[in-house]
Parts: sequence; structure tokens; C-alpha cells
Amino acid sequence: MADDMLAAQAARYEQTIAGLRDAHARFRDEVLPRVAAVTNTVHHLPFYVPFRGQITATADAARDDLNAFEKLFTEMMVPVLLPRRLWHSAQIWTEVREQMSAVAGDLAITNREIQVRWRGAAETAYESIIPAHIAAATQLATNADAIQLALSWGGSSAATFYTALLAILLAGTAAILTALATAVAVAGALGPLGGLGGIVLLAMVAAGLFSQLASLVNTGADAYGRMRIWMNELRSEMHDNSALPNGTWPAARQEWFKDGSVADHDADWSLEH
Amino acid sequence: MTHHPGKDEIAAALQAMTDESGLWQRQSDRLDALLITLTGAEITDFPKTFIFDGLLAQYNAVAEDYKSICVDGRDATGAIATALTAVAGVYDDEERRNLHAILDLY
Repeated sequence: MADDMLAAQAARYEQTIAGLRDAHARFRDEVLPRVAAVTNTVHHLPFYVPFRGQITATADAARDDLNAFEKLFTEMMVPVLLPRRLWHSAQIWTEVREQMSAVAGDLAITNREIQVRWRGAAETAYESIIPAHIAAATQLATNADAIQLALSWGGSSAATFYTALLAILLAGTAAILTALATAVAVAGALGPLGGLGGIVLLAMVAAGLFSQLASLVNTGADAYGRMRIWMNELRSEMHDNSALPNGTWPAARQEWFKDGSVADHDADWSLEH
Repeated sequence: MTHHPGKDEIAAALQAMTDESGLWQRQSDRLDALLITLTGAEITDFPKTFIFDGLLAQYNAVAEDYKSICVDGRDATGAIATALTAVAGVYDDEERRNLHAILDLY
């Protein structure tokens, strides 16, 4: 059931990745060149335009903002496959938890034949070491489960992050195209003042995109800050836990029960008879 | 008159110890296999960019610690298995040499 949900989530995310790549390509290869063309047009208008300086400065700022946005977006796309990787690792930790639980279960069997057949100081010592190993395996199964949960949550958070990024890009692209349609009127029928409105709109869209991106990055950073705290706590738990002394598996203590000889005139392992 | 265990009782006891050793060895083997599984869980091949750098480093540190404990566990459970096998071997050898009957120690 959990696997099915994960598979569905992963399939949805594949669509998000495809959407991001398409939208990014369109933004980079179609939108930005059009913004650059409009900016260039504003710079070279062959007739008098009131506030020419302000208009060109605004257009330049919008172009520069959108180029910077695209650069940041490109950087943000580098780890776009992270959710897939986190989910994959989460599945591995599920397997680790199952195996570690099996270790604990196997060691925790009752009515061991060795306890029925043998007596003596060594047998007593041997019995005394078993609970520590069961506890270690049990604790590690719990830790594996916590790691699995953290990774699953992290993958879902990252997927949400990129889904939101796609929404910002799609909405931003639509807004830019609208602004451009208005801005081209600088050289068209609506005249310079109509064009000015388009340039201002373009600048507002560019600034808005940055603002949304910054907000999204902050949200993502908060989520990953929490996950880092979670990882720190998990690590601390593995280092400071009675079941895992100093972050290690309990010692074998075989020196307590390894004497099977009676040549030293004692039977540390003696038969029940 | 002291009752000495018969050959069947001794054989059954040694078999119980061998079985117990096998139980520990299976856990050791299981933990050894887990180490390979855990290598696949690490995320060391991911591009270091953006806000995820620190997170992945921390996660890998957790995974590395976990692996280290599994190495300890594999070795400890293996050592217990080896010790029990050795005990059974020594006991069996001394029984063949009639040492238990000579010393009246079973």
C-alpha cells in the first residue's frame, strides 16, 4: 500500500519534472529573447518619447531581473531529481528495518535448546549477553524506520517545492507574455505611453517572480532545516543510546563463555544431566 | 552413584550448541548483507547545489554511522558464533579423549 502511494507520487513527480523542463526551455529560448528584443527596441526608438531615460532603465532592469531569475532557476533545477533519490533511499531503509527486525526476532527466540542442555558459569554468562544484542537490533530497526520516514518526508517536501516552482514559472511566463504584448506597443499603434505601461508591467512581473522565488526558497530552506535537525537528532540517538553504547553494537564478550575445556578442572560449560 | 551423561545426551547438547552458533552466524551474515544494501542508500553521487548540500551531508553521516554499527554487529555476532563453535569443538575433542570421565567433569 505504501509502495503504491510512493509509486503514484513518483509518477506525478515525473510529470512535474517534464513540465519544469519544458517550461524552463520555453522561458529561456522564447520569452527571454522576446524581452531582450523589446528592450532593444525601446533603446532605439526613432522618435521622441517622453521619459525615455526612465523607460529604458525600467526595461533594462526588467530584462536583467528576468535573466537573473533564469540563472537562479537553472541552478535550482540541478537537484530536481532529489525527490526520486530520497524516495529510493527511503525504500532501502524500509528493507533495512525489516532485516534488522528479523535479526532481533531471531535472537529473541525462547526455549533455546542450548539453555535446556547446558548449565554452568559460562552458560549463565552467555545467556546474560543475549538481551543486549536483541536491544541493539531492535533500536537499529527503530532508527531505520525513522530514517525512512525522514527521507520520505524530505522527498515529498522537495517534490512540493518543485511543483510550486513550476507553478511560479508558468504563471510568470503568462504574465510576461501579457506584459510584452503591451510593451511592444511602444513602437506600435498605442504610442509611447501605452508602451510605457507594458514596460512597467514587465518590471513588476520580473520583481514579482523574484519575490515569489525568494519566498519559495525560504519555505524550502525551512523544511530542509527541520530535516537537518531531524537527521542530527537521529545521529545523536545512535551515539547516545543505552542499546548502542557509544554508538556501537554491544561487545561480543566471548571471553566470558569461550572456555569449553575441563582440562583446567572446572566445567564452565557443564551438561544438564 | 554419579550419573554420567550418555553419548546421545552429549551429542544432543553439542548439536544444541552448534545450532546456537548457527543462529548467531546467520545474523552475522544478515548484517554483512545489510552493509551492501546500505551502500545503495547513501546519496554521495548527487550534485552539490542549492539548499540541499548540508542536508545530504548530514544524511550520509547518519547512514555512515549506521553502517559502522552494522559492521560492529556483524563482527560481534560472528565472534559469538565462532566462540560457541570453538566451545563445542573443544568439548567434543575432550570427550573423544575421555577427559570428562577421567576428571568426572561434564
